[in-house]
Amino acid sequence: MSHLALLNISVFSNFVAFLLITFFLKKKEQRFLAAKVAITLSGLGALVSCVLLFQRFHLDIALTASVTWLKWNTGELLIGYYLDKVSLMMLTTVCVISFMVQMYSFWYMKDDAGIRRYYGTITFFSWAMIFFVVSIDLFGSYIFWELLGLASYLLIGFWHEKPEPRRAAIKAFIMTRFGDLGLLAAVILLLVKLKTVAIPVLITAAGTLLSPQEVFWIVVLLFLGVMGKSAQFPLHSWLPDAMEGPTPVSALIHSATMVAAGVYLLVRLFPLIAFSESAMTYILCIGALTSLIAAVMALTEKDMKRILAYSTVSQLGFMVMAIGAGAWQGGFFHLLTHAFFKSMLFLLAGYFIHMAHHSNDIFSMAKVSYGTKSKLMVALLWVGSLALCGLFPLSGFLSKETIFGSLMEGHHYGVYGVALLISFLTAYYTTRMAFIVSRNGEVVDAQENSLPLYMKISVSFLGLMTLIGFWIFLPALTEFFHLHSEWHAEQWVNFFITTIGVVLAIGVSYFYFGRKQATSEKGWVSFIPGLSGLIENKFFVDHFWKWVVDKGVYRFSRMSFWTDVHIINVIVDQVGLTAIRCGKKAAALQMGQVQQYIITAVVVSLFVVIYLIFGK
Amino acid sequence: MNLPILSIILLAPLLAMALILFVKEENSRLIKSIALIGSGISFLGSIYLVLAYDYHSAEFRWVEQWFEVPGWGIQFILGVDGLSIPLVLLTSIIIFSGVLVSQNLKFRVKEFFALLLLLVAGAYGVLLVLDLFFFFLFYELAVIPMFLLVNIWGTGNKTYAANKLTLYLLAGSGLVLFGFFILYFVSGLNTFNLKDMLELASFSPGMQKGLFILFLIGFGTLSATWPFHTWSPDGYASAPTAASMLHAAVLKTLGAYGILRVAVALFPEGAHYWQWLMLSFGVINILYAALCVIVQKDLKYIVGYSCVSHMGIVMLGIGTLTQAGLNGAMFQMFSHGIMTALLFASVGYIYEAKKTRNLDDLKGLFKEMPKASTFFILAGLTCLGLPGLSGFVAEFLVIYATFSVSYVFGSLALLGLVLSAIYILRILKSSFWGVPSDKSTAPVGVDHNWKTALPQYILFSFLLLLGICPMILIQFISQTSIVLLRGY
Amino acid sequence: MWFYSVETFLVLASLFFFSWSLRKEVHLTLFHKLVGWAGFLVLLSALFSFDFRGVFFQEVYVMDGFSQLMKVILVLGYFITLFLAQEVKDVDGKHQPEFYLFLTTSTLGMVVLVSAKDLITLYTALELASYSLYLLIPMRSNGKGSAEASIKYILIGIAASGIMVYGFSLLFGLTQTTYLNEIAAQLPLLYQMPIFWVAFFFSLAGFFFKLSFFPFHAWTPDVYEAGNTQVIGFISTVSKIAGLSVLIRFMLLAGETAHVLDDVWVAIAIATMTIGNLSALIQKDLKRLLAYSSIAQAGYLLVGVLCISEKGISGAIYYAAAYLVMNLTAFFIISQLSKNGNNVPTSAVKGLFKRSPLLALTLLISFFALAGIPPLAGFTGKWFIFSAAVNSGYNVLALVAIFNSIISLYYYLMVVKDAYSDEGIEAGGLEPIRLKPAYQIYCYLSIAVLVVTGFFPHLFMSLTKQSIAVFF
Repeated sequence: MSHLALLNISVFSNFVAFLLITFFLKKKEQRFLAAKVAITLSGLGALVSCVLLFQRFHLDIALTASVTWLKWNTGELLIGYYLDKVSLMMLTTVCVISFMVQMYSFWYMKDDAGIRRYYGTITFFSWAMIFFVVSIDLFGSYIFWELLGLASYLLIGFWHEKPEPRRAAIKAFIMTRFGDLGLLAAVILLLVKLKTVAIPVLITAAGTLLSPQEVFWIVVLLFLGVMGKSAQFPLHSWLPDAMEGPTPVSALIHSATMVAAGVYLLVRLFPLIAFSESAMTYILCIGALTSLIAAVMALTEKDMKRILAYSTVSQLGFMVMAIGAGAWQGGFFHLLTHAFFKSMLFLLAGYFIHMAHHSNDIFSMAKVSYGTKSKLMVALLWVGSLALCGLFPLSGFLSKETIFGSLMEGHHYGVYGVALLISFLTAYYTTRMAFIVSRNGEVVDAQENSLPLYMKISVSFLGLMTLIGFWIFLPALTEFFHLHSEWHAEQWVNFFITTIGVVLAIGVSYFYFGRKQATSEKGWVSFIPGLSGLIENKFFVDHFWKWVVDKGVYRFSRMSFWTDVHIINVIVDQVGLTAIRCGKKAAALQMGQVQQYIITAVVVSLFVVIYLIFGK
Repeated sequence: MNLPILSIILLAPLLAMALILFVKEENSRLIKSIALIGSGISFLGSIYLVLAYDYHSAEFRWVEQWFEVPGWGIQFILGVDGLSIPLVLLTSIIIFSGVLVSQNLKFRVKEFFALLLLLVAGAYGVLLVLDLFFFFLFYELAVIPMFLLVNIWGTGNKTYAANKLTLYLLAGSGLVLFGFFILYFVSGLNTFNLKDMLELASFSPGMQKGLFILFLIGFGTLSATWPFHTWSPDGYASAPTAASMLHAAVLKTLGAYGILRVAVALFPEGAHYWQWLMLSFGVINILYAALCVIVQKDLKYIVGYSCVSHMGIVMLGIGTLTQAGLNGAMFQMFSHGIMTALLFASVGYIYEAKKTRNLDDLKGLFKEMPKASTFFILAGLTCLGLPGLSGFVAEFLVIYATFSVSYVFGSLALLGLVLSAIYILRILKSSFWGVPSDKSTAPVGVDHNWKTALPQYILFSFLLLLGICPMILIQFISQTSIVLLRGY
Repeated sequence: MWFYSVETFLVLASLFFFSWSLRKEVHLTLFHKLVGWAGFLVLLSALFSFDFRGVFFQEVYVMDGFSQLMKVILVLGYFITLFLAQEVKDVDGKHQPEFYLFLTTSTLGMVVLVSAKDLITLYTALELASYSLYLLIPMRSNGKGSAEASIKYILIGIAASGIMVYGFSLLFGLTQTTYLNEIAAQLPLLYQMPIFWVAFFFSLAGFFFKLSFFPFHAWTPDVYEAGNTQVIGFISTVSKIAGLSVLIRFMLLAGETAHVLDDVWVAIAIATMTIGNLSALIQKDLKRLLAYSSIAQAGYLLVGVLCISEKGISGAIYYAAAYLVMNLTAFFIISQLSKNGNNVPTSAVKGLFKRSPLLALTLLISFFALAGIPPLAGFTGKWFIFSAAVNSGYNVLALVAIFNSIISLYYYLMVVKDAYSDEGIEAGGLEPIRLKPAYQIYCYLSIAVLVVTGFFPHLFMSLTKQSIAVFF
């Protein structure tokens, strides 16, 4: 089977599932069959992508296949594949995670009426994400970028009976849409300047053809799109609200795939971005700011899914910061490892919420006794959390270590310090959550908790990947990610500093939450004046956007509709009415007396005569 | 065999109308089938045109001349090129689905279908004829039936809406009439034949500037450019479904077609001089109308205003005076036509089922009528400019062209995309999704079976087809836009 | 062969009607059939004598292409009036023959007027036509204002012909001759003198009255409202076209030099159109509405004539012929709508589509034609006139004319709306109108004529082109 055929299978397997579900398996009783079809096909896609990974990873040349989608005299747009190392790795990650999540969600959504609509949309989403990853043309990736936005809108608003998901869905769509304008503007500017936006061209030749000033603006606009999709600082407030959707959706979309699309785009176009220093620093600051704010906001959060959402925003900010500082390999490696353990954490959150009778609050989860909690799930929770903190044997440590290492080499000490603070905060709030959730409460729940095997497999597979997966592939990855196979002095210093930071954070959180008699909810945050108030208001970002929308959009729309009704319409009606009014006056001339008629006739003739004689 | 295909397309609706006049009112079955056959014939004719047209040459094909009026320079001459063939196809799609949509009409069926066919014959005439006299004759013939259609089958404040619609459009066409006379007098060729004028006529820059603005305003009123758009929301809110489908989809495009065919083709300097005005009209149209939609509460008003906003994209595309811009404008004419027809068809169906168009009474419609609301949502997504549907291709081309002309207008047009997302999704949020509110008095709507949904299927398939592979339509248009822009 | 000319047949018809008027009691039904046939015979003679050419009675009376064409149009109007006036409800039985007699004598006067080449024949023909019309107005038995209106009509008519005669005397004073072509021959040395143009203007005053142009239009609404519908139809079309043909003849004789009067013509045209259209907007009585609309239509005719170009004149003639058919059909519909002949408010049109679909369709076609909506003859006529005006450089006038016809749309469309809209009529209130088979044929014919000549104008235009080729 040629590599192109394999690629086609892995890309379109989800699309075939989508078509089957929407057009053929429409009857009520076929909904479980639809779910099974979706899972098998996405499993096939995942398998094929792994085969593709093994076969192509060592090859250096990229697989390209494209067809002209739109052509006019000054430009051309292509639709097709560009499969090099970066997109190959991302492709496999997305396929595998989407297969695992679909398997898990069969358990989670079994008793929900809209399971058919759920699987239809999730397969559509996976197809769009996969095609986005391998698309050859920046325009093609923009198309699938928008389709991702639509799918996330439909999935966040899945339970559209309740008002909150509806509001969260529209908020997510509008914010990402606002961001997408930036990406569209960047694509158009590139098209206007270079007549094509094919990624191979952008990566190799674009930098030289454009002036630094143009590159700066294109990258800033591009980054606006990334900010929208990957929830960077000003446009991040939609992600925590997006938790209204079903948990598997958050596991797939709001941890591993869609939000990672922005970072992936930065990695993809890094050769172009590298041309403008000022753009890099801009990206660095936004990334750092997002990471810090999100980490702080997660400190006192009680809702488990929101903690994970904030941690996703913070980790994404961390990756963007790394890329901004030039360590794009580290950022990309962290993107891959983060995808696995964060989606596992979300799936576990789904389990714990399910167990605690659908309440997201970690303290109510804490009340449930060990008897009912499944040991495996708690263990996997700790594996995921420690990976998130970046402790030694887990995959999180590997990627974070690469980032810290390249920051150290690049002598970005300021950035290094900020990164340390972020990893301290991350470790603190993650282990806070883990300690609280895994407490041995006194409520013994009679409901049997035998979890089906396929659900366990899906979650533990992700756990395995975090534990040993990346160690197995380490030799293959070292060359691509510039890892140091043997460590010198700097690496050891770097290792000690980061590990000390993490261990210290775990100790502090153990002190506040881990001990038997620990009762505090906010930990040390309650000592810092004003911080918890700031956190409550989410740094006033939501208020800012509400003000923009109400004062900006609605006021202008009321104003424009008012002008429409009261100015333009009134003018139009008046034109008509003046005609009628003159009609009344003209008709009034007809007094009805004959002598008046004859007099007017004669007088007018006289005027004509006078005009003829004297006027001419 | 050189079958006079153009005259067949033009005469089919007229003959069907004549036939309908003689059929008695009672057997409405027969009337509807005659109307269907008439529009079906022109549909087949237009498909034949699309298939048999070779894209490389851009001059007029299938030219037929029937008769001429000596001394006055008037002759009845038909001809089509890359610009008019897609629009002829658009008109036949819309009339075919319009007739299908009004199959369950009970009230005065005979006159309804007679007027509808007359309206569509006028639209065909404008697209096919190459002589200014008959161009204007069919141009007004396409406007007048709307007056009776709104007055007899309309809802709400229909007399006011009908008067406003007709008098406003005819005032606009008055300007065009005056422009044609000046054109005849100034071109010195002593003929109203557009074909000869396009090849031979040359005008002084001053005259070009004056005539261009005259035609821009004249045709602009029909394509709802900003200050002259207020007739369109009121008109469509009161018009019956099929009439507003035809008017919004086809007649608005005729306005833009007129600007392209007459103004842009004949007056290069005029177009360059007024370029800033066209660009600002386009951008104001997009933003202003999109803002107006956000506060609307009535579904038909929403569709009326969104239609005005999308015609702004066409005006913007024409305003850029680049090949990509013209391609985008013509593509938008086609895709906007189909999209608005689909929107009106689904709104009409929902109105018949629920007897209300107010958003608050339509809460939870997705649960009650899933099929009908999916069609509305799909049309809304095209209106939103979602990739994969035809709305996106047109918007992308036009915004790309605007960026290549001026960054300011380009970024303003981009804002339009967010606004259209806001108003479409607000409709979904406030009415289609959610739980049916108990205080709404509307009856329970019955959902589509395949028969009533057939027109919507046809329309949506075109939207999807053009969204996925737009090259089918673009190759038609790109040759003609090169010819249209040869003077620039 | 001169026996078969129109004039002789008209004289025979009037003698025939005169003989009927001498009888004591009139056997109406038989009489009405004969009336139709008499009108038809006269029409045949007009068609037959279409290509007569010649000059008679010492160049006083000329038969050229133009006069024969106008005669055909006038007699067509006469025939349609007779055909549609088969049962005149508001003129009591014993006056019926006089009714038709005066109609015929009036047509005779107009036919002679068209061919007159001399001031005196002009005057006599005009007075013959006008006086027979003055007598027709008071014949209406139940018209409440008909006596008062007829006096108004007579007084204004006499005043106008008084001014006309004064103009003729001035002309005669200047040129010592009453023959029009001799006056035209002396034109080169006369046209510098403004007094000549004053004389020219005054001598046309009589025809302004007939065409109801601006200064002399005031009588139209009152007379139209008071007169019998068929007669008013006749006055508004045939007598107007006779006035128009004399105006054309005068303009053609004066030729290029007549442009001296351009500002006057433009002012009169704009005033006539605007007053006609504006005051028609708020009319409640259908006949009064048509009165103002006929004033406005006269304004459009003047726009065509004042260009004094071949295009303008042939356009005006085409529009006059189309106007004749449209207006007669409109008045026919009013006569069908009104019960025993009295006036009809615009609201009486409500629900006409239920009462008689054919009549409603005829109303739609004729009112749309009057409004100038394509593809009907009214639109094509307006296109010819306005394009001729722009061709001769009267851009402002053309623009004003276009916007006047848009204003006029309002009241035409409102009538059509009432005819076709079904709200506001109580369920049982409508008794269907039975149309006699002859009238049904007329309705189909008029619709066909308006649509065909509108879409295919070249049939009629080649005819007008030959007829006025002699002048250019």
